[in-house]
Order: sequence, then C-alpha cells, then structure tokens
Amino acid sequence: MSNYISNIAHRHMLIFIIAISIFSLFVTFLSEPYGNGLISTSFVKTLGKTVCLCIIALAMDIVWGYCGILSLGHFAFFGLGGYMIGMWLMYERTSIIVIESSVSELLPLTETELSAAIGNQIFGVVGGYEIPAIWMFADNLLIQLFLVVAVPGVLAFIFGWLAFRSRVTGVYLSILTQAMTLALSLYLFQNDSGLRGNNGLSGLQNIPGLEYLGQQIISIWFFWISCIFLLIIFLIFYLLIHSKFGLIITSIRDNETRVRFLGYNVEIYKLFVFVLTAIVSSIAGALYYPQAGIINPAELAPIASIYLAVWVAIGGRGTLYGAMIGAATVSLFSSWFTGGQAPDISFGILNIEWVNWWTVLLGFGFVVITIFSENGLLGLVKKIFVSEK
Amino acid sequence: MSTLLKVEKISVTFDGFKAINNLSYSIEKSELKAIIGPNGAGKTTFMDIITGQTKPNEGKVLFGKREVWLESDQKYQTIWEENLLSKNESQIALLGIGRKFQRPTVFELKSVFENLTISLKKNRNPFNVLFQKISNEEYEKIEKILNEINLDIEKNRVAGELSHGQKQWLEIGMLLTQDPKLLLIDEPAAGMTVNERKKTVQILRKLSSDKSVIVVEHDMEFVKDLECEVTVLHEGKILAEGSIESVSSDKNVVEVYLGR
Amino acid sequence: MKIKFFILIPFLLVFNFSVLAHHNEFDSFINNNAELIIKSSSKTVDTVLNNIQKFESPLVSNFLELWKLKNLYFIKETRKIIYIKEKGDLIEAFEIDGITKIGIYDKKEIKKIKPNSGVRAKIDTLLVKYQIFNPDLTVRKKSIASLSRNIEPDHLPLLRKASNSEQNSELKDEIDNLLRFAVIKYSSSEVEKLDVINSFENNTNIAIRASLNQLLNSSDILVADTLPANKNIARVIVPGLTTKESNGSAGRIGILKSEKYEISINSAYDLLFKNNLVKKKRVTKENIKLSLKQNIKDNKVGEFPVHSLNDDKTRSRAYEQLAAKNLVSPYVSENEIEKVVSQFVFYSLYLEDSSNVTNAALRVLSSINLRVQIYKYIDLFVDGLSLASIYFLGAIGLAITFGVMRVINMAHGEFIMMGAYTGYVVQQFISNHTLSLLIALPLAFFVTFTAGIIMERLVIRHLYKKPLDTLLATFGISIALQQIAKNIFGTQARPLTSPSWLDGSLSLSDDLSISYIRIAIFILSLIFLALLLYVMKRTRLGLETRAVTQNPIMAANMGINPERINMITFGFGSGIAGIAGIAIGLFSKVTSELGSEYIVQSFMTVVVGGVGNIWGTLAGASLIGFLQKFIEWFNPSNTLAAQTYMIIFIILFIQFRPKGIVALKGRAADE
Repeated sequence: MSNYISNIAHRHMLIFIIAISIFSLFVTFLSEPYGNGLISTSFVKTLGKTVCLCIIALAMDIVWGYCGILSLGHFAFFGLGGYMIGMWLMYERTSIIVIESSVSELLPLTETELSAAIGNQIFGVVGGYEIPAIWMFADNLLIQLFLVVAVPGVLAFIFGWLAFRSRVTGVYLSILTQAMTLALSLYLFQNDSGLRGNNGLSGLQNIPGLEYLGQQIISIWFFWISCIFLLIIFLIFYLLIHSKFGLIITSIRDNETRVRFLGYNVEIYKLFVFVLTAIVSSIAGALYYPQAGIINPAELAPIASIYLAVWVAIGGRGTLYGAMIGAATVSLFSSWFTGGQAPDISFGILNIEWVNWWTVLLGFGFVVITIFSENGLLGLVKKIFVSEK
Repeated sequence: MSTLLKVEKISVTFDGFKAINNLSYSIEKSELKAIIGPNGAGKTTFMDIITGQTKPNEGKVLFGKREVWLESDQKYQTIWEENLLSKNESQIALLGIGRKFQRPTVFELKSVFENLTISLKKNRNPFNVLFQKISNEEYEKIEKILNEINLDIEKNRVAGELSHGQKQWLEIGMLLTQDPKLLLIDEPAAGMTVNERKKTVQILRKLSSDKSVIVVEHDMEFVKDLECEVTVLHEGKILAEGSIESVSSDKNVVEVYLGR
Repeated sequence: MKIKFFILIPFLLVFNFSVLAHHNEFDSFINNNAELIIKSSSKTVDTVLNNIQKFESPLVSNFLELWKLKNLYFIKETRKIIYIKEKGDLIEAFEIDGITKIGIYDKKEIKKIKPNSGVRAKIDTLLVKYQIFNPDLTVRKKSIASLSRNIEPDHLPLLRKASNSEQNSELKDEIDNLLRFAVIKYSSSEVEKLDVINSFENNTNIAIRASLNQLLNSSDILVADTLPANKNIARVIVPGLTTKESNGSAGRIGILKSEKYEISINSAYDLLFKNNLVKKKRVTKENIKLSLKQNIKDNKVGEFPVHSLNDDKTRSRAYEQLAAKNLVSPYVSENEIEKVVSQFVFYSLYLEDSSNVTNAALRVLSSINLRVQIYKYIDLFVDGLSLASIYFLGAIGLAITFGVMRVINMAHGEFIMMGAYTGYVVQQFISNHTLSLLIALPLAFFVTFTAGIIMERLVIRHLYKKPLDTLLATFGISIALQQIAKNIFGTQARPLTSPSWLDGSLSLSDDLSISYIRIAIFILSLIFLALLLYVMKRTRLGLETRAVTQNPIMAANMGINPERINMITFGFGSGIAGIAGIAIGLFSKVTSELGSEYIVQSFMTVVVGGVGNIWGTLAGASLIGFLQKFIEWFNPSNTLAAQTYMIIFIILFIQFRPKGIVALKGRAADE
C-alpha cells in the first residue's frame, strides 16, 4: 500500500521536475540574452512573476484546499516578504549611490552623515531623514533574508495561535484573517510606519552590485530562481500531502471534531500549516517584488488575498496542479485584458472594452464556476473526462 | 475491581436550563454499562462532559483510580490519576477515552484503511507525524481490527460508500485502533438492520472483556441484548439503576417512557 | 469707486429736517477750518476735533466717518470741502449736508483728503464717542459691535461711561461684557482686573479663554546669572529638558506626548553668545567640516589624513589642532557648552507684571479648561455615537442574513453602494432635495431588495451548507458589481446632496456642535432598530425567521418554508443596505468603492456583536464606533493608526469572546 503511494508519488514528482525543466529551458532559449529573443524581457518578468504567484497559490491551496482554513490574509504575508527583501534592495542601492556621489566631496562622510544622506534619499518623500529602527538590519542581506522567513512566520504564529486557540473557525476565521490583512495594510499606509507610507518601496528591480548585468539578464536569472523555488516547494508540498500529516490535515478539513476526539491536537496542526504556508507565501513575495520593481501597501489590501482565493478556486482547490493552473491562467489573462491588448468587441452602439469589462466577466465567471464545479476548472475537466470514459 | 471513571455531582446549565442536575456515576474496569433515557434527558451532554467538549458548572470527573500503599500511615490511599475537567478533548482522548458519535462520523473521502491509520495509537505531534510510516505490526493490528468489525473485505473502499451500519462499525474500529480504556458509544444501533444489530451486540460484548464500555441508547430491546447494568436518565438526573428487568418494571421509568 | 456712493446712503437715510437747520453752521465751521482738515497732522488736529463736538451728532459722526475712511474731498481751486458722487468720468459735488448740490467737476479738479494714521486714530476715538452715546440705538449697537472686534486703550474710559449711561439693558450687557475685556487688556488697576478675571469663572466662551490666555503671554527667553527677584516669572527654562505650556508655565517632556523641549543646549549657548555672556562662538559641525575642507594640504589636515576624518570625534580633534595653530576660531567642546549653559538661568517673564493677576488667570483658566475638557468628552461621545450609528446601519442587514442563513454576503458593501447611487440618480431627476430624498429612500430599498432576491435565487440558494463557497461567490458578485458601477458612473465621486434643512449644526457651546446630518443618521438607525425589533418580535415573519435561525430542520417540520424565509430575509437585509447607502452617501461622496470601505468594519461589527441578534449588532456597532473614536482621540492626526489598533483590539477581543458580545448558548450555538 505505502509502496504503491510512493511509486505514484515518485512518478508525479518526476513528471513535474521534467515539466518545469522543459518550461524554463524553453523560455531561456526564446529569451533575449540567451536565445533568439522571441520573448521580450518584460514578458520574461511577467512569466517570472506568474511563477511566484503559482508558489503562493500552492501555499493557499495547502492551507485552504487541504486544511480547510480559508485564509484571506496570505497575500499579506506575500507582501511582507516583498517588503523584507525590498528594504535590503532599497537601502543597499541607495547607500551605493550616496557613497558614489560623496567621492567628489573633499572629506569622507561620517556614519551619521551617511545614514542621514541615505535616510534623506529614502524617507525624504515622507518628510523624514532619520532611518527608522526597523531598518537596522537593512544593510545585511542575510539578516533580511532571514526576516523574509521570520517576520511572516512570527506574525502568522501569533495570529494563528490566538485564533485557533479560541476555536475560531469557518467564515469567522476568514473574516478575522481579512481584518488582520486590513490592519496590516492600513498600518503600512501611514507615513510614520517606517516603510514610506503609500509610496512603498521602489526601484527594487535594481539589484545592488549586479547593476552591470542589465535587466535582460537579471530578469531571466530571477525567472530561474523562481522556477527552482516552485519546484522545491511543489515537491515539499507533494510529499507533505501524501504523508500521514497530509492525511490528518485533510481529515481536519473534513471533520475537525472527529480528529480532535481521536486525540490529535487540531490547533497545533492548523497552526503548523498556517505558519508554514505563510512562510512560503512570504518567500514567493520576496521573489516576486524584485521582478515587479515596486511594492506599496495597496498590494497588501484585503482584496488581493481574496483574489488569491479566487485563483485557487477557479483552478481547482485540493489539487496542487489546479492551484497553479488557476493562478497562472487568471493572472496572465488579467494582465492581458487589463493591459488593453485584448481586442474590444463591438456590437454597433455597445462597445465592450475589455479594460473595463474584464473584472465583470471574471466576477460572474467565478460565481458560475463556484456553483457548478466545486473543484474549479480542473474539476470540470476531470468531470468531463471521467464521464466520457 | 477498581473504578476507571468516577463522575461526582456534576451540573450543567444552558441559559437557565439544567441539562445535567447533580449527577453522579461511575464505571469499573472491563465493565459494560448502558444509559437509556428519552430525548433531552441529558445523555449527549453527559458524554460531552466526560470527553471535555462541555465543562460542567460544578462537580468532578475523575479517571483512572489507583491504590497506593502509604508506608507512613500503613494503609492504602486512593489516587485518581487524572482530573478530566482540566483537560481538553484531544488530551482526554489520549488518556484512553474513545467516543463514538450519535451520527456516524468517519472520514468519508478516505478509504477504510486510511481511516484506521489516522486513529492508530502513535505519537500525535505534527513534527513526528510528518515522518511516520506504518510498521508491519501496525498493519497487522489494523487487519485484526478490520476482522473484528466485519470490514476486512471493505479495506480499500472509500468510507463514504459504506452502509450506515458499516460506518458505525468503522467508527468503533477507529476507537479500537487507539487502544482505549473506556469507550463511549452513542446510539450504536441507530439505522441498523436486525442482522447488523446482532453483530453490533457481539462486538460490544467482546470489547467489554478487556475494556470498559458505556453504551447510550434509547432502544430498550438493544439494551436488553447487551445484558448489562442499565442507568435511566431523565431531565439530567438518574431515575433508576439496575438490571434491565428491574429498571423496566420501575414505576417512574414506565411513567417517563409511556407518559402519564 | 461705486462703493463710495453706498457709503453715503446710511447718512442720507438718517438725515432729517431738524438737522438741516443746523447744517449751515456746521458747513461754515468745516470750511473755516478747511486747511487744518486738509493738511491735518496728529499734532494740529486736536483743535478741530475738540470744536467739532459742539455740533449735532449725526452730521459730525458721518463727517468723521468719511474723513477716517478717506472719502472726503476738496475742490483744488477753492479749497472747499465736499462730498462726492461719481457720474461717469465726472464728479458731482455736494455740500457736507450730503444733499445740496454744488456742481459737476472734472476728476482733476478735486482732491482726496488723506489723513495719516495718527489722525485717523484720533478721529476714530472721537467717532466711537459719538456713536457709543448716539441717541439712535441702532448706531450704538453697531458701534459696540465694531468695537468688540478691535478694542483700543482709549476706549476703556468711554466704555466705562457708556456702561453707566446706557439705558437699553440688552446693550448694557454687551457693553459690560466688552468692558471686561477692555479692563483685562488695558486697565492699570490690579483690583479691577482681578474682579473681572474672577467673574470669568466657569465661562467657556472662546473669547474669554483667548483674553485670559493673552494675560498669560510671556516674554522671549531671557538669561541671567541668577533668577531676578520681584519679577513675575512665567517659567524657569532648563535647556534640552523643559517645554513651554500654553499657559506660559514650564512642562516636562512626557512619554506619550510628542512635544519638543523649548530650547536645546546648543541654542541656549548661542543665546548666551548673542547676549555677550560668553566670548567664544559655538562651532557647528558644518563649520568644522568647512574649515577642515579649507585646510586640506597634501591629503592631510594637520596630522590627520583625509580618509581618517570619517567620524565626528576625529574631525573635532583635527579642528582643535587647527585652532591651536590659530588657523580657525577656537573650538568649544560639548562638555564646555554644557558646563557654561548650566551656569546661567534661563527664564521667561509674564508680560503682565502683577503675579496676583497671572495667578488668578491661571486658576480661572484651569477651571475653565476642565469644563472644556468635559465638553470635549461629550463631543467624543457624540462622535462615537454617530460612528456607531453608521456601523449599525451598515452591519444590521449583514447581521440579519448572516444570522438567519449563516451566509456571509461579501457583496453587501456593493448593495450599500447601489443604494447610494440610487439616491444620486433620483437627484438627477428631482431637483428638490427633500422630495428626492423621500423618493430615494423607499426606491433604494426596493432596488437592493430586488437585487438581493435575485442574488439569493440565482447564486446563494445553490450554495447552502457551503458558507466558505458562498463567501467567495458573493465576492465574485461584489467585484463585478463594483466594476459595473465604475463603468456606468465613472471613477470620480458623485455628490449626494442633503436637503438644506440637514445642513448646519446644533451648537451647544463654542466647543460642542453636532451637525444635523449626524443627528438624522442617529435617528434613522434608532428607527431601524425599533422597526427590526418590531418585525422580529411581533410579526409572523419575525417568528418564522427566528425559528429558522434557531433550528432550520425543526422549523421546516413545523410547516415553515425555509426557502421562502431565506429569500425574504436576504432581500430584507439587502434592502436595509440600500437605505444605509443613502445615509452614508449623504455625508461622504458616492463612489464605486463606497461599499468596500465599510464592509470589513461591518463584518467585524457582526462578529464582535454576536450572530443572530439585533442587540448583538447594536452592541458590536457601539463597541467598534466608540472604540475607534476613542483611539483616534489619543492621536487625532492619524486615523489610519487608530483603525489599525482598533482591528488588533477586535482580533484580541474575539479571543476572549469567540461568539461575540451577545452569544447564543447551548446546542443552537454549536451548529
């Protein structure tokens, strides 16, 4: 029995490794720096970002599709990851610029002058020049990378511990996670949050020390890194859900009380899943925002997290592939339609401009999918496939 | 004989309604007991209290009596190993109290085998669970239990496809894989065919050879077949106790069951 | 130029025949003194002003007024003083009675009389005297009103006299009131001032507070070796430590307050230097940097290589070395600055000399401030109440649907928005705001009621028992509706104008006024509360709804059709959202995002309050509304932070009452 599972598991994992490799090689050979240039650098970035969205979709799928916790807050963790890495990118780059421009000065800068100059560059826009305490490690990449994991991890732990301990479940929990997200984004919107208020962090596409490479190369590198992370996280999650742990979290999803009466501490399991997926989301964000170039508090708004749930639901929750397919198709379609590239449809007087009507289509389309196919597009495909057989 | 569970003078009130009123109860090791009573007598609430889902307003629930010889006083002293009121559901379950719900609650999307692996008595810490594999002994244990609950041929079927009675057995089987000391069985006969009932009686009586079992029912016939001590609950109080014959001839019981 | 004519009008109106009889004498007096008037200076004008008082008041005060306002002219050739009226390019000249025409002149033939400011002040004083004692009550009232805007020291004796002579009791009160301000400002009598100050006790009038505060004005920072005796010292200042309070006294920097000390140690030293109390000028970091730059030789400053000058300590050492060679002005170290500054006393004096007066002012002001504080608490309470009303209106519909059907309607906010847009559209057709509001309220209910029922039939019905799926499906509807609204009405905000009788506010004191809109919203939510309580407790529908809420299966067995109840409930909840939309639209702009701004708060109201209970929603709305205002009160400039902290509070609150404030108990709650 267990051998049978592991055989199938190995086969699926192998298929995914091959698929990701082919996909990334394919993109590489069509890219500008390493191939024939059929795919533009900006599209490579879009693909890289989409891969990151697939990662967070996997996390959302684990926490919702497998563990039954409809979190409306995972995009907040995604944003936090972006902020953590963004702090290093912005600080380091500003500090390089400041030091370069101070070469022409007759005297070398003192530490206070240096930090005032950096502070002025970064925080002048919110009327400050002092570097807030939360930036104390911003000059250290390793610590900031650690914070990418630690900050959302700790936040998810505290929130999850509080919420699960008091047995908040179902829609209550969803609303509570939404409230958490709202609190976080409102906090970041303030000018004195120490993270540049609604300006957010910008210029993140410039990697300090690697400017000489140019965006063409950096974007394909980021694409590769994103693919590698997607692969690693897919494999981890795959093993996770096919282990006894996976059996238990799906059981919690289906009947929490029964699991509890079998002697399992359901809260700890939920907390484990919540924190783990929060960290994965944060990692995805830390990979996403250097490709996007800018992050601001609007990215963390509650609606983003709901969209995440929509992607996973459209693709098909409860299957790892479904989550990724949903995230990739919906986000790519969204940028295609709202980017004004989709051809408008004209009915004589009525002219359907996709820029304006795409969201309407998405909204109603989503309603239809929710009603008719609980397992999203993938479920729909399976249904048709199975019934034909 | 030594007492396994002792419930002392518990009372529960919901919004002014006394669901359990000053109730005391106890069960010995390897004893089979039944509780009967009409709807709203407080049977389910009583089970909720033992398993930690509801906390009583007053009273004590103690588990696992032990006699300890005190050298200093030259006598035995009674020690209760656990006070159940300070524990939550999963902790109580880990002490060895298994509960079958009124409605069969099994994991419908999982196979019968998977259902039983979830309940296997093993380390339940998530970090440990991550790397758990099923050993050969455990595999055999599950096979044995499958045999006991008459589900050996259904091993790989999805639990949701089982008949109502089979689900009840599966749930009992899930309790057995935990190696419990005390089983609380809520309405095991509900929705069963006559044949299934007979088998269920057999299962329960076999279980009581090495485990304590409390069966809650409102079907008098089924309880009669169990041939055990019966407690009649009414409005949160014990109305009568004794053999099924003595209880069913009790004037108060007849009044409650047949109406005035 | 037209304005000048209008100035004449009041004069013409008060003019009467008895005055006419005297005007010739006045006319000749003026023209006899024409040169003194035309070339008036504050030294020479007194004779004219003394003698002019012999004449009848209306004539004189009008003359003086025009003189003061530089509206008096003379004919260049004859030096005759005239009043004028413009007629195109030409000027029509009048005698100073304002009636008798003299003739038409060219603009070049006449000239304006421009008294200087000294003269104007003297005219003004005299004018006040005329007006204040004018037999005409309206003139007296006007003059007191204008005096109250600007009291001069000269007015003090006039006001005293007027207070004694005034017969009209209402005006006398005003004069007495004005007199008190004048006394505080200009009286030299300490006793009199103290009397007035004490009479201000418990009066929260803003003008009174301002005048008391003025008494407590203090001087710039002064410095001396020791604190001077016999002076009315406002505060002793410790540089880098004490703050300046609004009443002139010194305070300490608190932990919670974000105030700054009044003067830094460095600035205190600079002050000493300015007052010639120290000899050496402080060298700032910038100065050091500049001097070091100027003294770089061979990549070195003195013995210090340039690259080593990257911290303040090395830089100041290098500078000291330069100073030792007299290349730069001597360095004053931080220790030295601190030491020198600590040898002096910094202080500030009250501009008022008498400490009795300032003490009395301090005492009265603090008791007044206590009262003002109470008003502020009341204001805070009213703020909280109106926010709570809004949350209640926004959340009650949601609470009903959530309570009865366990369905979270994410599109609830968009129903609020639909209601607001309904109000806007109605206003486009009916311009009478009152009427349009009366039509819009039921219409909004109808529109959103229908929308709710459609949504229930098409979507929610299929998703019962799957609350999380309902949440997401309604979210899909929510984004679609929002975008549709954007496509129809555009992204800019649309106004929903309230009727004029809802403008303005109920003013209870200078510090406390409640706008009528808030009162209206409060009343509206009270009406809703009463209506809902009535429907739920007294009608068949309410009974059935409660039955479905508590036990849907049992209710179905009793012959209640849960589908029908669900549908009506959903429509009803949505309809209320529509009306809430109009209420919210009245005080904020109508945009497609209107609903989403309230939705999270509404959810939290429901969750905090407890499900399935109107009182619970009321409690939740009150808690959230008051709490938000209360937190904002600590830091009024930062409402974002207030909201953040409020949400965190709510998350913590749910820990202790997971089922909300008003929780159902027993089996029904375990559902």
